[in-house]
Amino acid sequence: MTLKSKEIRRFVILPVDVTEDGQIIHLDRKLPAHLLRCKGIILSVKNCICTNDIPHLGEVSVLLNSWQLHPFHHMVGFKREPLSKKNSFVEINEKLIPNFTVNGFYRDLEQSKDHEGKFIPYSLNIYFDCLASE
Amino acid sequence: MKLTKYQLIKIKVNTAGETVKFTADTDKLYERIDGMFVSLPKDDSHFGTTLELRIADQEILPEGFETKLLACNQSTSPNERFFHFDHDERIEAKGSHIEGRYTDGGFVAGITFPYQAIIYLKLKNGNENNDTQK
Repeated sequence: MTLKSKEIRRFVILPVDVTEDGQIIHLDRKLPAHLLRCKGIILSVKNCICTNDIPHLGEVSVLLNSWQLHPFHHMVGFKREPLSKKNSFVEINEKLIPNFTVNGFYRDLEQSKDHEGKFIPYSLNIYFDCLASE
Repeated sequence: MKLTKYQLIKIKVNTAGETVKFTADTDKLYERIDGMFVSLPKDDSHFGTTLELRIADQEILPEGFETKLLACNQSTSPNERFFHFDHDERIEAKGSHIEGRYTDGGFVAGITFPYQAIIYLKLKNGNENNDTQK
């Protein structure tokens, strides 16, 4: 992806707080009007939930341009080691329509539990790697 | 001609959950910032830790950006740990003013306070098109 003149990179973060076992959280956020294109998406669980990896912690579905595009549907995993060998955004590369919204949902898959089976609240961030007009 | 410099910014974090505001200036002898990475003494300190960064009044990282996306584990060679800015996204060095806000994630198990967070900036001179590590 090549930046044209007067284009700048901007990250947008959509935070999701999961407070209940099996919770479904609807995503609905208006993006800044100067965003031109979404280049990629990456998901990150913020806090340390337990001592094991959880490959299927939840499920996220992201729609762009007020429900017009559905480019992203992924499982969200938790990794006990916070750092990866490489951080890469999942490629999307879709044009964004100004003043339209990001929609979708996050569904918790009831895996975030302590050794007594009690739910552990957690937060995750959905990062959008975007191009914007200056 | 001086081509490359790795400039360090050191941030002292005294307590869990602390927010540290910091300022710095890039080396005047270099034209642009090619990339950056964040190094912490313990990988677990990355849980929930965020870095907001502005360089020359330009938003580089928004509020809430997790440091773990700016770091890689020890199996990645040091040269490949850098988060590179887009190939033709020009972030001026030349003594640019840096303003940042580092917020510790509050993870305390096995973490010794105070600790020092280090931000590495990769500064370059010359033509970007000569670079191969993108």
